[in-house]
Amino acid sequence: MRNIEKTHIWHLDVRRKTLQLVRITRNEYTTRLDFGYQMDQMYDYDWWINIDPNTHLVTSASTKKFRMLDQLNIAVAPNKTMYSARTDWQFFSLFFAPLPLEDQKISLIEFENKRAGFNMYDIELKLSDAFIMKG
Amino acid sequence: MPIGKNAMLRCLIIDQVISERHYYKPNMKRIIEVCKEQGIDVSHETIQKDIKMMKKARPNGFGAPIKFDFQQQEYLYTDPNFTINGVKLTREDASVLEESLVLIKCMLRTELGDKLRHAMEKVLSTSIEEVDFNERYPILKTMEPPRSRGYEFMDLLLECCKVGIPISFVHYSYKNEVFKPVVLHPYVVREFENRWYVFGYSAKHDALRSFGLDRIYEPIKLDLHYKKGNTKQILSFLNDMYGVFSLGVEEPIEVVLNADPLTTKFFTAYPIHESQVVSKSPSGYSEISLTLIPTMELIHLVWSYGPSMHISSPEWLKEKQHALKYYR
Repeated sequence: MRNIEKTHIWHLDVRRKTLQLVRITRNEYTTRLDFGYQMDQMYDYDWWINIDPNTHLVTSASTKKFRMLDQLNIAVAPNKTMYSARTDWQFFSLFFAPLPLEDQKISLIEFENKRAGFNMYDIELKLSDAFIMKG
Repeated sequence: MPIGKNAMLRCLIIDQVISERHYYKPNMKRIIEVCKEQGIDVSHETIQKDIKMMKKARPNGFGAPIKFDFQQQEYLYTDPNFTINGVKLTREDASVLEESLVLIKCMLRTELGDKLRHAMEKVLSTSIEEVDFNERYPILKTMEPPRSRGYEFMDLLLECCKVGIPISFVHYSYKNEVFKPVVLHPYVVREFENRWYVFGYSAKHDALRSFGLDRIYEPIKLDLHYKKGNTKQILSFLNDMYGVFSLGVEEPIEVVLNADPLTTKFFTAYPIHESQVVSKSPSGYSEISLTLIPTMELIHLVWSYGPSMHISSPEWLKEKQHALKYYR
C-alpha cells in the first residue's frame, strides 16, 4: 500500500491559554485539527468563541497557505458559539486541505500580525511520531 | 407504498449518519461514503429522495424530523432523540418474544439464563409500557434514562473490544478540566448506574484505566499491535468493584461500613455486592461487610447516606474519604 493512502494521526498537547490542540489527523482528502477549549476565570456574562473564516495553516514543507475548508462544533465569525458558565468546555475541529506528507513544522493562523485569536506556532509533526488509522 | 429492502438499508444508513453527528459531519458526502462502505453505490438524487420519503408520516415514511442546516451544511434531526432504529414492537413481535421468554425460563437455569430472562422481561415490559393516546398513564414503567452523550460510540467500542483493535480518542477530564489524547487497548464496556465506561490498557498511563463514554470524543481505530488483557484483571474489574474507578488497590479487601437502622433495611433489601454480609445488633444498627476493591463510587455511596452511614474499616479508606471531602 502506498504511504499516501494511510491516515496519519498525531497526538499533541499544544496550549494557548485555555485552547488546546490535541490531535491532528491527515489523509489524502483533508487535514483535521481537533481542539479543546476550556472556559476559565476569565469568563464573563455572554462569553463566546468563534473562528475567523480566513483561518489557515502554514507549513515549513510548502510556501502555500492551507485555508480552512470546514469546521465542526464551532461557529464561523460573525456567528458565535456562546458560553453560559466558567466551567463550560468545547470540543471542536477545523478542516484544511491535506498537508504535505513529510516531517514539518506547522502554524495555525487565525489573524496575521495580531496577538488575539487562535494562533499557534511551530507545531512539530514527524511522520515517525504518527499513529496510522486502521483502514 | 411499502419501503423496499435497499431503500430501508439506505434509510438506516442516513439515520446512523445523522445520529452519529459527534463522530462525523452528517452531510451528503458522509452518507454516500457509508453507503459505499456497505457496498451500496448510490447517487445524491437517490439519497435526497430517501430523505424526502423518511420525512413522510408512517406508514409511507418514518415521520423523521430531518432538517438541512445551511449554516453548518449538514443534516440534523430537530428532535435529537429521534431515531428510526427505535422500532416499536407489534403485538406479533411481543407474542414471539413472550414465547421465547417461556422457552428461556424452561431451558436455562444457569446464571446466564437468569440474566437473559431479566433482559427479555425488560424488553417485554418496555413494549407494553407505551401508552395509547386514549389512556392517561402507563401501568408499568421501567427506568428510562435519556440517551447520554457518548452512547453513539458503543458499536465501535464493542467491535474494538471483540476483535482487539486499539483506539485513539480525545478525553476530557471533568475534574481537571483538560483535554488529553489517549491510546486505549479496550477490553470491556461496562455500565454502572446508567453510565457507560470503556475499560482497557492506556498506553499513556501504562496502566489499566476506565473512561466514561460521555467524556470521550472522536474515537478512531488504530493500525497498531493490540495489547491483550489479563483475564483475571478484567474479571476482577467486572466482579470485584462497586463502580469503575479504583483507589489504587488491585485485590479485593474487606471493607466494613456502619449503618443506622433505616439504612440497614435498604442495604438488606438491595445488596450492593455479592460479598455483602449484614450483621445487625439488637438495636437495628448494623455492620455491613464487603469484600471488594474500594472505589470512588463506594465513597460516594457512603456520602449519599449522610450521617446514617460511615466507613468503619480499613483505616486508610476512612482517611481517603476524609481527604476527598476536603478536596471537594
